[in-house]
Amino acid sequence: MNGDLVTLRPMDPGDAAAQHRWFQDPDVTRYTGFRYPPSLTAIETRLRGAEDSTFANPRFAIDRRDTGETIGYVALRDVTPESRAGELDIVIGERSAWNLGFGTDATRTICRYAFRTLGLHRVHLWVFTENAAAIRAYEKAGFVREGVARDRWFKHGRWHDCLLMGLLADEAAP
Amino acid sequence: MVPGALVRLRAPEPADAESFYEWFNDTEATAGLGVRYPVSRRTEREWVERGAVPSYAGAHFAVETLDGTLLGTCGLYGTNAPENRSAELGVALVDRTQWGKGYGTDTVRTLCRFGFEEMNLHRIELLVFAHHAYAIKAYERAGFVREAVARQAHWGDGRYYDDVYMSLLEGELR
Repeated sequence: MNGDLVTLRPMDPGDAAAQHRWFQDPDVTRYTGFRYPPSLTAIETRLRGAEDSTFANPRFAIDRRDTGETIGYVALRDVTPESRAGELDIVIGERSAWNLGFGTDATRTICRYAFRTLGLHRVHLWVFTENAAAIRAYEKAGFVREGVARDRWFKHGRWHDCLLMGLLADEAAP
Repeated sequence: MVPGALVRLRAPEPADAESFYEWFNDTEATAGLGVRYPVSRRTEREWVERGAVPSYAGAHFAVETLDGTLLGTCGLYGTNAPENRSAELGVALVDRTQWGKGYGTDTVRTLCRFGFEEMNLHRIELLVFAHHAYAIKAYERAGFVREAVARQAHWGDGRYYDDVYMSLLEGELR
């Protein structure tokens, strides 16, 4: 699946080393729910045993189109067929790929897939309110701020507020 | 037994299953709950068995009046990340003949007090349909704050409904 800047493809066991490296980087995990560092073995085992993507949980590795480098992953979680809604989860783990539009393009690309291939009505996400770069990227992709949940996550010795953002099918860029 | 002013919370018992079977198949009683599919006696029996041992992982309760009349169920769920000390509140007072007597608000207060004082929670959150004004008022009476509106997040009755996210932090219970 191609966006302007990235390609989304199924994850495979060869992605384990990069994922392991990303999860060692405190700047990558700072604004994620992540707490316990996974071993390389655990990541390999998970990727080897992973079932194919499903309607309920489609997930993809993100490759740069210019260099082919794998820079992160993106997924939808808990997609429900009745409400045709799901939650977006994205990590750009390669620091060299930050602030260059790859996250925005990956978000647009999976949302286009959500609306046009899966037939979803809504995609939502939660983001730490202090993660300004991510919020900007989601807004560029069309997401609307829907409200702030106070003290929703405990990390780094304190509580963090989380912003709920939502995107409806008729709001997404074509 | 967890005593409140008008209700008390206790562990579910097998004898509750038959009442739950009737009430959870009453579409008017469950209109605010997002129940979609008819439930069987087996489902209710299994729920009662699973819920028989309330614990941190699933604090399910039967709700009854102080003289022992069963009113419905309630619980605190979603405590799978204990670091966050956060749970989702669910209340289903499904005996319609008992509505309008203040049992709902007292159930919310009693359950939240239990969550803060015994489970050491920091945050209790819930989701309610935006048009379910009566329930929203009951939650606000107990101190819950509206945090977000998830637009068109729930499908039912042939249309999309907005969901309201509300929460109560430790120290805010009224």
